[in-house]
Amino acid sequence: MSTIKLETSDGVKFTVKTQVAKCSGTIRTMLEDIGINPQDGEAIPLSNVHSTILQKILVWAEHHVDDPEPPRDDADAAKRTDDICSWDEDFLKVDQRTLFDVMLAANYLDMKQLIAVCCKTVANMIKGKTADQIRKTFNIENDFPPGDEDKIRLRNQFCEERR
Amino acid sequence: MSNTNLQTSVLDPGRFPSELLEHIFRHLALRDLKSALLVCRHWRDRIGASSTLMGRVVLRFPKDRPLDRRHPGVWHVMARRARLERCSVLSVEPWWAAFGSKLVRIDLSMVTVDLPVLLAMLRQTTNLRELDVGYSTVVKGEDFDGDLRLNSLEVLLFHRASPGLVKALKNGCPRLKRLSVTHHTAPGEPYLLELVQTVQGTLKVLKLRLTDTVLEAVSEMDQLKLTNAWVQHCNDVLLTVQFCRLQPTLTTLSVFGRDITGSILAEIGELLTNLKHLSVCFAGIDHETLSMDFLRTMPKLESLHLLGDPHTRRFKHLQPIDPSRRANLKSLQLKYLSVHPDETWQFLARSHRIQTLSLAFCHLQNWPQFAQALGRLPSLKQLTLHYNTVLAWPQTPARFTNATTKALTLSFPIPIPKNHLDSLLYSFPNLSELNLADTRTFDDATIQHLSHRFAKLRKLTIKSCFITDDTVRHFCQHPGQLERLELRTNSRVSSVGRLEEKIDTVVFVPAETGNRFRVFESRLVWICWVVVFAFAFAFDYYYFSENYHQ
Repeated sequence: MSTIKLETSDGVKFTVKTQVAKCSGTIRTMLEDIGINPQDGEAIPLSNVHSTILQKILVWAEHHVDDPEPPRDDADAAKRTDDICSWDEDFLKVDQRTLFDVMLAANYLDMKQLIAVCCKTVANMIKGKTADQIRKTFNIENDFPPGDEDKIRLRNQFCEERR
Repeated sequence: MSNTNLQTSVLDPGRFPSELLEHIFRHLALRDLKSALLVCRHWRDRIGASSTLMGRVVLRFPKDRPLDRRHPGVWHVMARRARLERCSVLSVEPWWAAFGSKLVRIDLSMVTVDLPVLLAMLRQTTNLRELDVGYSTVVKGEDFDGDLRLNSLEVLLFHRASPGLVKALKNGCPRLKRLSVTHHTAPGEPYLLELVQTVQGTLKVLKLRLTDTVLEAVSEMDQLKLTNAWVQHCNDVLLTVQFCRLQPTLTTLSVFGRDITGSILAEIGELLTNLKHLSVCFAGIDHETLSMDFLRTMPKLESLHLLGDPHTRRFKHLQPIDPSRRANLKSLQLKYLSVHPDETWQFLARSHRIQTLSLAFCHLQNWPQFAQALGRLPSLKQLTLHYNTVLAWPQTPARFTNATTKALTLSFPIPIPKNHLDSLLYSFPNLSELNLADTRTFDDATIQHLSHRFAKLRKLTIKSCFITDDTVRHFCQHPGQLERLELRTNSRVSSVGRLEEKIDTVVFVPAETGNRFRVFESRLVWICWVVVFAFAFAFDYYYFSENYHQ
């Protein structure tokens, strides 16, 4: 079983099975297309990922390493969010900061499945909330001039989902 | 651009990529998307700029309100699709331009509009891909000269073709893929044919009524290679045969007209070697039985849809299908037909690939054999039995099991005996979707058994059945896995109580009798007033005339 080394932004080195590391599209491209040779013992630098986050992501990758490719679905319709498996659900029961750091790292590492499951988790945090509650949840400031909010609400009252 | 709190928000636009934000939004239903629009300017702009998100949204203009120069107050929304319904369009200047340029689809339903106004509107929707004129009236047409260019237009649908619009568009939609015209008049026909002529290289789907002129024009179009056609011949079935001879590339064909016989269909099958989907609607009174032998000429056929005449509702008898033949059909739908017992059911039992089976308004003979056939369909996923007449219910219900079926739709206005209904329902243990309508024997007790029996049931619709508020109470206590429950026009259900707390989506439509009574009541009030006034008037008249005489 071949392994490769990864180095995080804070200088920590990880030794990872190649198969697990290849869950990341970015690393896969580096190995296959650019031809970085992992046998040299040189670590691949991941300058955007902190060691605590990489550790978490590797746990996820280890668990999902044998997953089949997901079927491509219709991009148009609203996607489901109730199909997160219970392992992932537990895995993402973390504070908001960590969740978003995982998501950003997954985006940088190009791990589509992990991005999808993070997005679903965040979407579930938005569902059923009013704009005010959403702002509170994510600590976002309302930057609309007074009155604009009502205007947008009025203008959108005639919108409906495509059948 | 945003004042979003940079220090603490995890979604700070400087750090959090917009494409991830859009990815999150893609999981939201419209209701939540509307809330998200109001969160901050950055979110609003992201949602508005995403064609995937906005492609899902249809802007429905308020009904019955004419559109004129006044701003309708809705134009700033970022919808990519707009629907106008039951209104007249007088003028859309000047507000349309900003809104129209974003649209990719417009639906006009029962709209009245002058051709020049419509053309002005469409000129400003330069990105339009789909236009459905539906049942709308386009006033003035033939003698108005105007050109219209819609370079992206791919789909153009009419119920009744507007000659003026077709004439304006005939050189202006180089990418048209689908043209659908249910009715057209003789004076408009040349324009339609000219349009087909200019787009023959791209056109793949055509719906048109066939006439001699149409066929003559089609025969001269060398580049026209349709894959999908819906044709209507009025009396001359040979027009359809001739059309098939000209378009051998067809994979999907719908035919509507008189005199369609088994031998005609066999001829069509021989002409169209790639035919996968066939739908036939037999018009007129036809006592002849239909021989199903034509299936041998269509080895690639996957779906077959046969309709007897929906207007006369005479039953066309299906002649037995040769039971020794194994069919590749995946979908079989029969409507307004009388289905011959033995051999047909045997054929059905041998159709191993059937996934969708629908029988509507048919005479079903020999129920036990049919039930047995259902038990032997190993790929069946969807079954619909709608308004069929079963000539004789046997004493004991048929017993079979079909574990593959996920969706079942049943309606028996001529009541199915209760033991047969129960037995039928329990024959499909893995249902996730059940739709029941107009079945009097379907009551509270059945529901209670049913919800215990079907652990995987996610969607349930009950329309006009004999259930009462007890069913509502039952689901309040045992919602199971139900995600969607629809209770429509069940006369004994008064409300859904607290169901909405237990089940994600609850649709409730009260029975119409209540509405009718309210209408009646309001009329009664009016009649009383009229009577009172009449009396008052008569009394006054009488009184005054008495006084006058004195």
